[in-house]
Amino acid sequence: MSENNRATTSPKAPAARFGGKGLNVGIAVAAIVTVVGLVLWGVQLSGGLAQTGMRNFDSWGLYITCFMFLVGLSAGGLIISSVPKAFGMKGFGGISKVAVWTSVCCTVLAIGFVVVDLGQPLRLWELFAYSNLGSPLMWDIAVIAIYLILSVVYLWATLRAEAGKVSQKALRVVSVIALVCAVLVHSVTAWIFGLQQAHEFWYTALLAPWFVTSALVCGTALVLVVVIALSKAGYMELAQENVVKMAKMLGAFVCVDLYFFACDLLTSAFPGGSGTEVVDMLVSGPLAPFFWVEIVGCALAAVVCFVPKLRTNPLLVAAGLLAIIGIFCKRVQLLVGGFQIPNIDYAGVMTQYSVTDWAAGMAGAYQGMVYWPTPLEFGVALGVFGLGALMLLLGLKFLPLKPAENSH
Amino acid sequence: MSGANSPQGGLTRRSFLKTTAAVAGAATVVGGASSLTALAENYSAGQVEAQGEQIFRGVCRPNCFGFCHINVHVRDGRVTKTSRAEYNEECYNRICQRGLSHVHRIYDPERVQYPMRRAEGTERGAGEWERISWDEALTEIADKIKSIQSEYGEGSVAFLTASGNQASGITSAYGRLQALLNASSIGPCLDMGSYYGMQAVAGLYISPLMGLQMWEGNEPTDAKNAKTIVVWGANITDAQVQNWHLVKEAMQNGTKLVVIDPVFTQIASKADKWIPIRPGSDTLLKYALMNIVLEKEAQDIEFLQQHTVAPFLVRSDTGMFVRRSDTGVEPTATGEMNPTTGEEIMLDPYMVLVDGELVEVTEALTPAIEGTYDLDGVACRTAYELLKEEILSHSPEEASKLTEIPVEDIYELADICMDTPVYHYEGYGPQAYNNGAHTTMAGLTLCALLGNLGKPGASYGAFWGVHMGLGSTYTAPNGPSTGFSIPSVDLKNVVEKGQFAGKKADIKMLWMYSANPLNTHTDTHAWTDVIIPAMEYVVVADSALTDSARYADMVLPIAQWFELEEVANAGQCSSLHYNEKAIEPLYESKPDTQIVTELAEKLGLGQYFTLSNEEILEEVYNTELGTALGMSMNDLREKKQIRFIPGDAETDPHIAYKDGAFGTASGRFEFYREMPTVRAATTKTPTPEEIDRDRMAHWFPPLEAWPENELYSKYPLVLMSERPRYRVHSQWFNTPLLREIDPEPFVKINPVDAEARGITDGSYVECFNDRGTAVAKAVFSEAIRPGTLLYPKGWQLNQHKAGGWSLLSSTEFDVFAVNNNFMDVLCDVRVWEGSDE
Amino acid sequence: MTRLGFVIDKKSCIACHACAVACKVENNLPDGIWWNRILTEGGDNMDTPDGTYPNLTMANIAVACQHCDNPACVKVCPVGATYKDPDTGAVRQDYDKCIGCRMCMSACPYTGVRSFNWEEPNYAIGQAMGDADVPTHQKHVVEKCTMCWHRLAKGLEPACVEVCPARVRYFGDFDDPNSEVSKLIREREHTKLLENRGTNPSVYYLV
Ligand SMILES: Nc1nc2c(c(=O)[nH]1)N[C@H]1C(S)=C(S)[C@@H](COP(=O)(O)OP(=O)(O)OC[C@H]3O[C@@H](n4cnc5c(=O)[nH]c(N)nc54)[C@H](O)[C@@H]3O)O[C@H]1N2
Ligand SMILES: Nc1nc2c(c(=O)[nH]1)N[C@H]1C(S)=C(S)[C@@H](COP(=O)(O)OP(=O)(O)OC[C@H]3O[C@@H](n4cnc5c(=O)[nH]c(N)nc54)[C@H](O)[C@@H]3O)O[C@H]1N2
Ligand code: SF4
Ligand code: SF4
Ligand code: SF4
Ligand code: SF4
Ligand code: SF4
Ligand SMILES: [Mo]
Repeated sequence: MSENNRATTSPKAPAARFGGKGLNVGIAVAAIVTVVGLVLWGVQLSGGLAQTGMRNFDSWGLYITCFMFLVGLSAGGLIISSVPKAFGMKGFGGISKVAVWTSVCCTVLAIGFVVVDLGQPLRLWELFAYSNLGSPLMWDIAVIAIYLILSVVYLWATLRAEAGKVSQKALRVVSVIALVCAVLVHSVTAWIFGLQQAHEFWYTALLAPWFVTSALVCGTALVLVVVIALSKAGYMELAQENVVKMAKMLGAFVCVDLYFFACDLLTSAFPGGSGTEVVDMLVSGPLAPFFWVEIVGCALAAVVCFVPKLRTNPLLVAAGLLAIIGIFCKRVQLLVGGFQIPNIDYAGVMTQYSVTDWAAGMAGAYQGMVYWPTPLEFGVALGVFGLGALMLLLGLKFLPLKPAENSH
Repeated sequence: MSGANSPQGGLTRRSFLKTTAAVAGAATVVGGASSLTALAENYSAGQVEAQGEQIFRGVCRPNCFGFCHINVHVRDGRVTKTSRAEYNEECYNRICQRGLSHVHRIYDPERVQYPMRRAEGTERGAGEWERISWDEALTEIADKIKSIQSEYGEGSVAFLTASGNQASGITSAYGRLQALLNASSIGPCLDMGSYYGMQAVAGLYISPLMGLQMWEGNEPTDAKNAKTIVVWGANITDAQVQNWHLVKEAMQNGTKLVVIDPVFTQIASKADKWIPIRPGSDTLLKYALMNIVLEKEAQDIEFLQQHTVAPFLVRSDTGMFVRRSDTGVEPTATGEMNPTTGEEIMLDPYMVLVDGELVEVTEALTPAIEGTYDLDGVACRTAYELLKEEILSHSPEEASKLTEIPVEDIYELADICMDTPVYHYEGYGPQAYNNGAHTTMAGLTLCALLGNLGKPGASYGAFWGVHMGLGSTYTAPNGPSTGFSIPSVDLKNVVEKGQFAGKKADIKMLWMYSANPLNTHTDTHAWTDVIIPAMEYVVVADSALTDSARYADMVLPIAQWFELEEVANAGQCSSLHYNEKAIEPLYESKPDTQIVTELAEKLGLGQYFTLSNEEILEEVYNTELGTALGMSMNDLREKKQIRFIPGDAETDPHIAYKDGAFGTASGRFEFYREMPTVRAATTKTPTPEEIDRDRMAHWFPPLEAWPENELYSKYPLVLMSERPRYRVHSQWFNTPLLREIDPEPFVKINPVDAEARGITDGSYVECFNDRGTAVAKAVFSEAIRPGTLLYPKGWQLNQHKAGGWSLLSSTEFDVFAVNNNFMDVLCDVRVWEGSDE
Repeated sequence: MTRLGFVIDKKSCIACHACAVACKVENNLPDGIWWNRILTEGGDNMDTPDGTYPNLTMANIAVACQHCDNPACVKVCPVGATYKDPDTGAVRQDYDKCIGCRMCMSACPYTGVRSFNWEEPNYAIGQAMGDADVPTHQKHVVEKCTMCWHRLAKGLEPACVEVCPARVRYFGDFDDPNSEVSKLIREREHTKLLENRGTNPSVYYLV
């Protein structure tokens, strides 16, 4: 298994071109953004979450949206790099380490988003002291932790394998475990929502597989974008055939994801009961912009992926980004949509803590989107993303993630 | 700041766990017994150490008719909560959302804390205040009283009160000062339509225990004895909440509920039948019902003969009843003295017809109720014939057209009314129009016609009593005041004319207490533009900076209800209620009694005011009569609640006009009166037409609120008010807790009227007429009759974006009833163009 | 077994809010927090009916935590900060444990019964009120109706039950066939809120 995949691009001494000043500037900027984010988080904690757009009737927001989204991204990377290994297929050896590192970063980010969403982050230790193993959140915390460890182990194992210190067989075992874990992370994250009978929109058995496909979509898209960008930046070289493979996979995942969405909408709408409310909310209601961006974006992405002529790198990057945005939009729909339809919608006393737009009463609050983040939330979220960027760049700078001469 | 004293709120971790165990124990027993009290012993001392909590008996006493007994919980000298206390009569146990929010009212950050003088050089109402000491304040007030009285006469100083606090100590202290000063009094004109209407036809009831039923009816606990409860414009679930469960329980027992109201109120939504009616037209509906009664010959002849003036003969020349003296027999002396006039009572019996012959009423077993008599050329007819004539002139069809109630519904309602006993529960909505007194007269007349009075389950009216006192002379040590008694609704006219009761009347100083007339009385402009500017000095004693206080020259901070000992002496339970002092007066506030005492000292009347607040109460209640009736201060302190009408709420409820006895001159129900007298003297005198009109219930349109009114083409909406669920009148207007439920003024509007004017739900609208405007949030409600608007009253001017509700009403009043016409108001509404600043 | 809960006669509830205010005062609820809310089943606004004048209907429903027999909130709480008391069936809340993740809020189907302290609890009157034994409210934790635990411990009924002037609130043990609440639901027609969600609430509404 020492096949060299650097066929199409000429070896260009990438290390010389990549990194250097640009990377350092990037690291500095990311660090600043992170610090600003931390400060804003401090503001949020001291002044209270009242400064966010979240309220009792819409009790989760941007942070949990990002959490869902990033769990998806993280698993995608790992799946991309581990599937080939797990099944002994020829894969994208060159990118697998970057993909795994991206995964690690995304996982850390996802955890970061849960932490900034918590009211009492200092009580996190209780999760281990008083764990309620029946809570899907606890399951998720467990699998994410395991997943994070596994990703790191996997990365380490890959590196050791390259150095010949770990057998390919062992690597394959690790990759299988990582794969199972990635799928699990997805399903479990889905269950945080999907097991809640409280929200018609969430309460569907389809949610877990659907989360997996969405993860695959945005994971693949992210890796595609990152590797194209990195090869452009000269960090690594990339075989075009691998790019094409990835593009085809992306296309396929997008189609499956859309298919699941269609199934779900049909199931919701068909009985004609309260499910139609869900469909209306998405198709023509307050969440329509997010719905249509997702549908159109994903459809376009699929077209680019499947039409050979369109598979140029810039278009593929665009397709990847569209897919990522599409999936993000889907997360927004899912999260806000879950709160957009109150189970009990009678008029009653509303206060500043009931719902974001409380002064307009029950009817008014649901006229537009029931939730929209405040600038502080955007700031904190940006800070968390800054942390991710920082990790990613530091990894690229200091970790031996570049494709090895004889890697897959 | 938050919570109690430890993380678990007074419970340590360990005792908290103990609590858990106690609850577990408790739970095992709850099931069987419906009360958990048996388990109280599980509540071991030390857990609570009750935190040194003390509980005092308070009486919540705005005039919502409730006068609920309340536990005032005090920790470390601060009230921490109020809870329901037990009445002596279980059926009356209750508390409401306002009574539960006293902590927020007591510690309201906006409460008046110290005497405030209008800042020098600022206009009245400008809101600029200067903090001064009590000594400065009272010295200034005393000087003003002296100088104004010496310049304009004693009666130029006037005290105004309304229904802010119905209690003995405060009333007695002010009464005594007023009498000693010979000051004038400005009396309330609230709910006087129904009061006047009732006493006109049925007289007044004063109980042997000295209770006066100002609004008489069977005690609400008797409603269950009726086949149907018919509610005539009473918003029971909001305005007499303590009675709702009685109505509910009656319904669960099979009694039907009918509600007649233009608005689909909460209680209308619970009724077996809701009859929407055009505002101001109830008298017509009642005549239509009487018409059907006659048509079906359902009248109770015996009741008419024995208990009403039906058989009395009315002279066509004078309108007076025929008496024995009309037949040439001089009145005979009885030897008894009339205690009020001091003259001997003369006997001159009414004459009735028996077989066409005149007979003294006492001699006639079955006098004719129909018939005529020629009295030396003067045609006389029985009063019943006059009534019949009036009834027959109002057909159900005509009434249907004007009341906008389908004829079938009128017939159905008539059937319900004829299926006696019926408990007619009258509210204060129908009487809040210029023709309002007549709706009460007509309602009672309908019942008299059916004999539906004086028996269990058979009633017409409301139920509210006040205690007349126990013969104490405390309030008038040297005799009553020689000052004027001016009805508040007429004050503007008096000020403008400078004349009252045929004398020069220069009212120059106003002291207002337990009242907020600039807010709660009609036509705020009359106050701000005429009355207040005519005053040289205005004092308001209150604990809140009300509209009236804002226009004062001096505001005195008052101790609130639980900060002094008091006896509340009115309400729907017709009882005296004992209120203990729970905490010291907050900030620099003082009880009214103390203020009056300290002021008297400065006025040189110190020798009359040597008693403390508690001693005043003892003086008032520890009279010979009080001790004899078991109503002395000791009795009150011990029993907390003592009825001032006989009977027992549950087993022997008060029955109004029991056995057909009425407090009228004839002792009979006087659906026809010989000589109507005004409720109170005013600057107006009744015209002969008005006198004629008031002899009997008559239908005539309201002053404004009627489609035939000229104004109607300009202002096509009738502006009605509702009792605010989260205030009593203007009280609690700033209570933070209640403002979370009910944050700002709003007006309910039918979407049809709103949409015709481009108004959207939740937007700000301006209601306006020639007198004024009020800006409020529009709330779309189908409960509101198209063509009407409904606002919950009691918001202060500065709580509105602009204007205020009472700016739209007028001080016009009916010369007989002398009442505020709160609902007899036309207006229009438009989108508000203004902005917040 | 004991299963404490409420019966509320919706037919006669007049939306007076006494129960809501009692709850607020008794439990020292900070400004803006209401564990017990009175809702109007009718028009879009509070106290407005459904239909067109004069063909109208209107009803009220008081909604607080339903102390579900199968509580969705308890299952999802990662640290057991919301839990079911095995001896009474009350669903309880431990402020000291809560990490503020708000899982329970999105899990509970009964919109608005759980409330989070989105900032430092504030009191307009600048002092605490209510019973001395209620736990101090904390910033950034979830809270809700406690069934007036501190009162049960003293053998008292919940505050909201005591105060209802319409006398439509009843409290007791559903597992005891002789309790008033058991009798009421045997004798009168009733519903429960969102029965299809499988939470099996311990609040019955007489209709
Ligand atoms: N919460 C609260 N309770 C109160 C008070 C308060 O301010 N707040 N005030 C207390 C006082 S002093 C009083 S006098 C009582 C008054 O108590 P109520 O008489 O019960 O109250 P109102 O709101 O004046 O009017 C009662 C009803 O009359 C209806 N109405 C209006 N016009 C007409 C009409 O022409 N015909 C008929 N049939 N109905 C009509 C109104 O729609 C309303 O529903 O309430 C007492 N209770
Ligand atoms: N639009 C409209 N207006 C109405 C009505 C209506 O139907 N529609 N109804 C009318 C009726 S029926 C009534 S009875 C009136 C009531 O009218 P008011 O009696 O004027 O009304 P309140 O607001 O109850 O009380 C006035 C003030 O008394 C103060 N007060 C309370 N206790 C004490 C005390 O111990 N000492 C002193 N010095 N002050 C105290 C309170 O703080 C309050 O500011 O409102 C009338 N206003
Ligand atoms: S406001 Fe009236 S009904 Fe409410 S507690 Fe006080 S007295 Fe009772
Ligand atoms: S109502 Fe909601 S918070 Fe209460 S027990 Fe049920 S699921 Fe939990
Ligand atoms: S917010 Fe608190 S009570 Fe709710 S699930 Fe999280 S830790 Fe449990
Ligand atoms: S039981 Fe206690 S905590 Fe629960 S709603 Fe009633 S008053 Fe509030
Ligand atoms: S106290 Fe009783 S009547 Fe009032 S809102 Fe609550 S349940 Fe309804
Ligand atoms: Mo009144």
